[in-house]
Amino acid sequence: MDEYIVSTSDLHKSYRDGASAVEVIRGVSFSLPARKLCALVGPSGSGKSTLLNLIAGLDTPERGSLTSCSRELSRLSSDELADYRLREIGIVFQFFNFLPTLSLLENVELPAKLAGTKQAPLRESAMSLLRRVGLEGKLSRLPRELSGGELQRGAIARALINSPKLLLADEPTGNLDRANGAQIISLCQELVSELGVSIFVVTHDNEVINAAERVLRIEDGKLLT
Amino acid sequence: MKLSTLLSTLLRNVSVKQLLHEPLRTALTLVGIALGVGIFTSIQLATESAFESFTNSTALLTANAPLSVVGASGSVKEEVIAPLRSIPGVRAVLPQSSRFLEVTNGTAPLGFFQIVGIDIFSPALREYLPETDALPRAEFVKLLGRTSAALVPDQLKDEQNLFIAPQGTKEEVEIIGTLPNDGVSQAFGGKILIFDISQFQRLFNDAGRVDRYDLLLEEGSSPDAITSEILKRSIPGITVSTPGGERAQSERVTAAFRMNLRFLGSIALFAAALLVYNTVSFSVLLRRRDFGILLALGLKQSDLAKLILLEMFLLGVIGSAVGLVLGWIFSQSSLTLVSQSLSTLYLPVQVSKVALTFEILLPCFLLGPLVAVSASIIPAIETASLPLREQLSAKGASSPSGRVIRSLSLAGVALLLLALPLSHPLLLEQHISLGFLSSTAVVLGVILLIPEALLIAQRLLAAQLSLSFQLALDHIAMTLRRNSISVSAMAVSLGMFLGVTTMIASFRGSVTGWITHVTKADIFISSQGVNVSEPSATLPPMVLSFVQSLPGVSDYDLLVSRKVTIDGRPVRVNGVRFETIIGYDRLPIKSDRPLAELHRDLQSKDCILVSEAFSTRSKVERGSQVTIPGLTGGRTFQVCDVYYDYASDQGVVFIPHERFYELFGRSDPQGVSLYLNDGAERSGILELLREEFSNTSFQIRDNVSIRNEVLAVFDDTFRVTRSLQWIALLVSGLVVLNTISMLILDRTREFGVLRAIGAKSSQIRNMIAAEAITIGAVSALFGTVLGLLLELLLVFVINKHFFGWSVRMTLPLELFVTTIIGTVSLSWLAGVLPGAFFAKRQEATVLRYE
Repeated sequence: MDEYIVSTSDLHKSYRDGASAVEVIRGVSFSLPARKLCALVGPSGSGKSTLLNLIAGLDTPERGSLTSCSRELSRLSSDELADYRLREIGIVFQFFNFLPTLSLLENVELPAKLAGTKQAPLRESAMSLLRRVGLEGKLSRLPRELSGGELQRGAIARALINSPKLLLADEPTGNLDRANGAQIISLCQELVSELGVSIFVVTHDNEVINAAERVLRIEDGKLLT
Repeated sequence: MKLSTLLSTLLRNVSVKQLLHEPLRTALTLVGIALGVGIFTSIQLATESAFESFTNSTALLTANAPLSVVGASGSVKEEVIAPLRSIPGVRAVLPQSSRFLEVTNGTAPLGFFQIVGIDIFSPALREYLPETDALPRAEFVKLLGRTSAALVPDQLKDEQNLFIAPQGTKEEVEIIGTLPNDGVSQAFGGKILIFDISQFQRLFNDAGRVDRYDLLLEEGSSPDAITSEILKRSIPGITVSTPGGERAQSERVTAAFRMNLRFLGSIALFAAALLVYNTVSFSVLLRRRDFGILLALGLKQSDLAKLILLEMFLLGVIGSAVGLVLGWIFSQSSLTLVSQSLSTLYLPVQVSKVALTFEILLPCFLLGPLVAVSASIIPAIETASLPLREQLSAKGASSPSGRVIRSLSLAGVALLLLALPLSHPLLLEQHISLGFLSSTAVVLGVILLIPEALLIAQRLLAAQLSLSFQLALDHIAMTLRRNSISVSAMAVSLGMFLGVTTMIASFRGSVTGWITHVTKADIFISSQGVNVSEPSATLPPMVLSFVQSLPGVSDYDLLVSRKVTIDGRPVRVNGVRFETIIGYDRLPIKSDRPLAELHRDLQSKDCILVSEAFSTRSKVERGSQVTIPGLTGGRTFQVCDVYYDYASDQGVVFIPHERFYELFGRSDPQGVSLYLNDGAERSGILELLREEFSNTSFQIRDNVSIRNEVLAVFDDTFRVTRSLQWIALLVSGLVVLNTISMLILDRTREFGVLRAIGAKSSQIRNMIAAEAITIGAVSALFGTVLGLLLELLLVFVINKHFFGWSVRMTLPLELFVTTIIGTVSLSWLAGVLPGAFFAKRQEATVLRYE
């Protein structure tokens, strides 16, 4: 029997637009196998990012159940969701979301500091992750001094610092050129095979779709496959 | 992970870097806190130092006696010393009298000194002067009755000549010894001369009377038992007081003054809090995305709120530390102003240095963190509870819904309505501090109406104006939350500036009208005093005989004056001739009834006139009975009418000369007013008088000089207030600059997009200017409304109930117009300069997120 990292059932989410409500996710049910690279594709406005935000605990569903890393997210309090984000998952944002005043190394270390990891092992694992993503020479650079590809790799390193079971990525290659995109894809594959991390990627990129072991298609808030 | 460890980790790793990354905003927050704490501290230090100096001086002069015997009429007859001495348990009875008089060295004035008379031969002298063994008592005996022998503080020991003029003519003071450097010489900032009581009585023509007797008790004697023993003996004209009771009386007398200053200090602090609130709000709004990232990475919302509050607490601590230093620096100058005002209005205060005590500094220090944390509570909670989706988006936070805005407006109206009962005289009599609560309700009420007003402005004006203004108004409506905060901060500081300025203008106008009314006599001759209405010396009989012989003088009036205690408050009783007072219409009478009728009443009944402050404080009106204490008991009079008076907030009572002499005994007058014939040459008569009394310290002035002097005293009294006005204006300017520059920073990306799609730099500049002008104009409008409401409260509630003075309200229109134009212009300037810089930036730079 397959082991699942994420399972949803009849998931619904809508947003208010003035007086009316727009339903963005409409009864979505699916399961994501653990330790696999999975992708979510769909046209703009189809609900991809909303679904990712729900799995990340950045937003809460109105109806339905959503289990991720063995936690039923709809039952978690705001503090428990924070703990879930801190310890169970890692997020790679489309626009990186680095704190502009911290160096690359400090940005990567930040989630571990929030989790209370001691300074010595923390520094070591941050350096090792940055080495792994090829940024060992840019440790003290501020985010504004890095290229898009470097920022994306840095964001992956930050997402991995607390050894998450699940890595969520929103358009990780969306702002990158072909070479940098390919680098990110192969990094993701390595993470799955070597570290056993489950990865769920929202993407438009065919290269990522081709590399994914499972692809979900969403349109108008509903899953097609 | 422990919360403290987590917060300190975040503080070190995130907050400090972010605060250093925005040095201007951090500095602005610190300036706001430091300025507010500084002003408040300086006022507290100056007021408390002056007041403490007075009470400590009193304690030093009474040899810390546990009991004192004082006369409600202002003095006690010497005959009471024998019955007091005979009371078992009384070890010593120490007489004491004092006056506040100018001392000169023959060429220049050395300032006002406390001239004190004590029993220099008392065996208990050491109780006053602990190191007096070496004092040359024999020298005293030799000089006694021959000259004015005094002990002087160290600072005067090298003066060759010292003079005082207790009865107008100069008396040389013989320096018999120097006071030890501690003890009594520390009283009144070292401005003290000590005479033997008999010499004092001779100097001030006060034979047979002293101000007070201080009682030293034998060990084990109970002050309460001795008090009841004194009362049992029914000695006429005396009351028994304790140091605690006297301190409480001084506190009561100066309460309104001190509370008023504290109120003004709080205004500065409140204005500073608004600046901090404004800065913090922008700071957290601009850092919202960063905070969102921390939340997305797993930080709890409650911990984020705590982190923001902790940051502000630390800034508050730093700001407070700077504020205390500023406060100490400011207090050096405010000390002089406050002691001058206290001396003019209430107590003889001489203080040369600021007392830095833990009790004063600690609360002032705590104000900084308190203001910073309170100002950041709402932005912190708002930021922490915003949906993560909004925190991370590049767009601004959503505006409050129409329902929320309506609720805010309703709450605003409710608060404005609540201000009415809070300022009702009946409630204020119970709790004077409710006056401040009503001003707070007005300020908050007006603030809560601002979001609705901004929306209305947008709806009404957007369609009528140019594209730049339309976009500006749309943006204001879209970012209503932050713009409401900015407009509130600007409106409140402007409102405070206008409210205080117009209150002073109204007050000055009333005082000008009053002084013109009460100085209808042409020439005034008075003895020396710390101010026009408080003479402390007398005029010898030769003055009167000379005045009577002067050609051109049609009438004159004598002023005899004494301070007594009625209902535990000091009241000045002035003996006058009602014929001249009424005949020349010298008093602005409250009832507006015909003077002839008033004159009839004053002649036919045992009537007195009382000042408005006395009427308010003692709750007496026309027809009420008032008992005035005399040397041998009190006498009851009927209040014939109330008159407007701004000379004293403690109260003045006018009684006829003959009643005055019956109560207090015959005494020389302290002042003479002369009425000249039509056509008499005033300058010639003034010259004659000055020539005749050139060797005296008499003050000889015409009514114009008196008016100018009174207005100068008024301006001096309000100098502290005026400095606060400018602080409010400075804060207002800082809020304008902060708001507009933050607005531009906040819209950086939006402007970048507009430029990217083809907007010209001039269009961007116009949009920034339009938004800045709109915010400035709405702030100025609300500031004006708030200023008017605050003026109403200050004039009709605070002044009336704190000081008992009716003030006629004036509306200086030019001030309002200038303030509105000034605010809009400053806002425009604050937008134009950074706008021009912004318009030159490259789109690619502003479009980047990081």
